[in-house]
Amino acid sequence: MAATLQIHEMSALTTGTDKTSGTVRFKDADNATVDTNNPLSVPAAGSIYSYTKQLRVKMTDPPDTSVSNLRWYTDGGNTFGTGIGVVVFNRGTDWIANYKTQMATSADLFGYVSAATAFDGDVTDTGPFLPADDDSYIGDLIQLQMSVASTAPHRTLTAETLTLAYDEI
Amino acid sequence: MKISEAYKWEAEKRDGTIITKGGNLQDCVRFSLLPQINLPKQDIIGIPMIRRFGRGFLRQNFQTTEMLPGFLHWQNGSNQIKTENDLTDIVTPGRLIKKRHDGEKWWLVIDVKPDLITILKPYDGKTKRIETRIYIVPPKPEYLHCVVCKGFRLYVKSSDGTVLITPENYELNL
Repeated sequence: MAATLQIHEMSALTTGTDKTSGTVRFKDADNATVDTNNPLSVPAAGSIYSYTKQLRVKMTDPPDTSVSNLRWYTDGGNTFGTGIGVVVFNRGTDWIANYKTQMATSADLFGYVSAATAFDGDVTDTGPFLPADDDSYIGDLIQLQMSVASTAPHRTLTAETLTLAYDEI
Repeated sequence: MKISEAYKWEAEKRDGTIITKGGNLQDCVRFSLLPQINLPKQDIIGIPMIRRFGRGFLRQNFQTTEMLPGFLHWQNGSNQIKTENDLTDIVTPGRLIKKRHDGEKWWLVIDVKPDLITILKPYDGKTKRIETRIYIVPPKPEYLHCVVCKGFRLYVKSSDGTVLITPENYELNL
């Protein structure tokens, strides 16, 4: 039987909400609820930052043999628009409570694209992941944050998609 | 059914043994993808095979709705909504739209013209010129079966049975 994996938005190292084919909304609050509350407002000067988001993969059905090669990527095009960015950092298995100050270490999420340079998702918690890992979180915590600069227009953002790819045998 | 189970696979070794687990195909003379739903069957026969694997793709959005450009004119009792911009590139029949605020009902679009959107049922609510949201279709997962053969790879998409043949070392990501 093929494995079942899910993308979870984490509220602790091993606690999360399934967001597979769902939505992670960057907001000015620390929760996984998808609504229009706590929007990120364009500042008069400088930049503001969303609360960080942390994603991790959960195995909910085991593979026949193993799952490996977890990698995250985008289409490479930031259509959020002027003044709006999303950065990413691999936290390994080092859970930290979400915060809304600027992430100290990070890279542009949209620099990770499928054909060239996907973001490696199993650097610390390395694969292959086995049937014994069923019903547990696998791979690393992927931390994300949105920034909104004063140059951003006032509007609702267009959609962007984050993809997780994995291999299994 | 999970998309990763749209096909089951089996391979036949030279001695006639059938295998359904693992990745090594070096002793195999046949590899078959057996559809579990309405998809084309795929067989590889008479070609030296090396290994197989599955490749899954999961996706999530950063938004659930998008705001449509301009304003729409919602009129109580009417199933026609006038638009101030040509939205035919964005709004198509089958999509859902609603007035901008939380708690508003979604309405199913059945026809779109440059200056008019028609919804299935007459709108019941306050007549208003207001910004309008369109529901973003959730991204779907995909699952590829890959067979690495001498000289090429064969990828089969589980969503529609499409076959993609690539160079032997090409890593296909969708």
